[in-house]
Amino acid sequence: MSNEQIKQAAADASAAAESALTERPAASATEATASPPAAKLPVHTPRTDVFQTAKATVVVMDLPGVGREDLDIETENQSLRITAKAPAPLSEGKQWLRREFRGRRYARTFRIGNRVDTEQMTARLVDGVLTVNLPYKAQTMAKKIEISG
Amino acid sequence: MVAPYKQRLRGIGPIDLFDELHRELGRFFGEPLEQALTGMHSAPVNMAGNEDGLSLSIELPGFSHDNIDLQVEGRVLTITAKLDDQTASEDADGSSDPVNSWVMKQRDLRDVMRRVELPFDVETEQVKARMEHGVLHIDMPRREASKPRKISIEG
Repeated sequence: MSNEQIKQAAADASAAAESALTERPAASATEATASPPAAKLPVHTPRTDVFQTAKATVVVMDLPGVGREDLDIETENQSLRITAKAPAPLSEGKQWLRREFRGRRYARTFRIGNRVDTEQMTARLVDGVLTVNLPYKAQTMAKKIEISG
Repeated sequence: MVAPYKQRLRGIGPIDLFDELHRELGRFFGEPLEQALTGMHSAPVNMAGNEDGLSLSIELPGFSHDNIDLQVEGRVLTITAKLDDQTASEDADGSSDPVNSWVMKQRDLRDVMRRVELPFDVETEQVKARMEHGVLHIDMPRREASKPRKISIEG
């Protein structure tokens, strides 16, 4: 690798750190099956929207079947990890005639850029859709400069 | 398992045959074709039943109950769900800052239409539905007249 290439790689890496959010792939297959009680459920990657506004990065995730008690949101070392469990649907003494979805776990990890103020994060879960708001630190927010005179 | 053609012909009149053909074709082409023509999308369904009725669940994350419409016509249940336009660009605090840039866009926020054939007639007046965590649960009791009757043998 030439010096030029190394410089370029380093620049790319720091650019990634600056950007507000990048996905971090699951560390390994063993991580996904680490917790024994729910290990039988398959792990799905939830469909996700991520967008940026002037004030925050917003993560919106489809988590059908997930209640508040089955959802975990953790931040550690600039990573945001969202895990959830949708319990297996019950047939309630009936015979299955159609089964197009089953119980599952959801897991997705993102890398948060250093612009985000992790203390101010908020999340809400409405109708199976999770919205996580990641506001930027005050000093990194773009400021409009008033011109006087 | 579909019975051989000749075997199915036995004992069915021409009307029944067309009716059956229409149903068979509809099962394969009707719903996807209709969805394609109307620009609507499908959603996964679970259905369980016994002699007393049916329980059906459909995944509709992000849809509130006033945007969902249920219709039972004969033995066909139609579920349509329309989406509010403002859902996409709302912050967690309820304010709607304009979106500057998209980092990732995977959710297909689109209207849903799903048709499910029911194995028997249901009491349409007694159909109950509730929304839980983005999954709509529908309970449909079986119509009395369509319940199997035990016939006692005299003598």
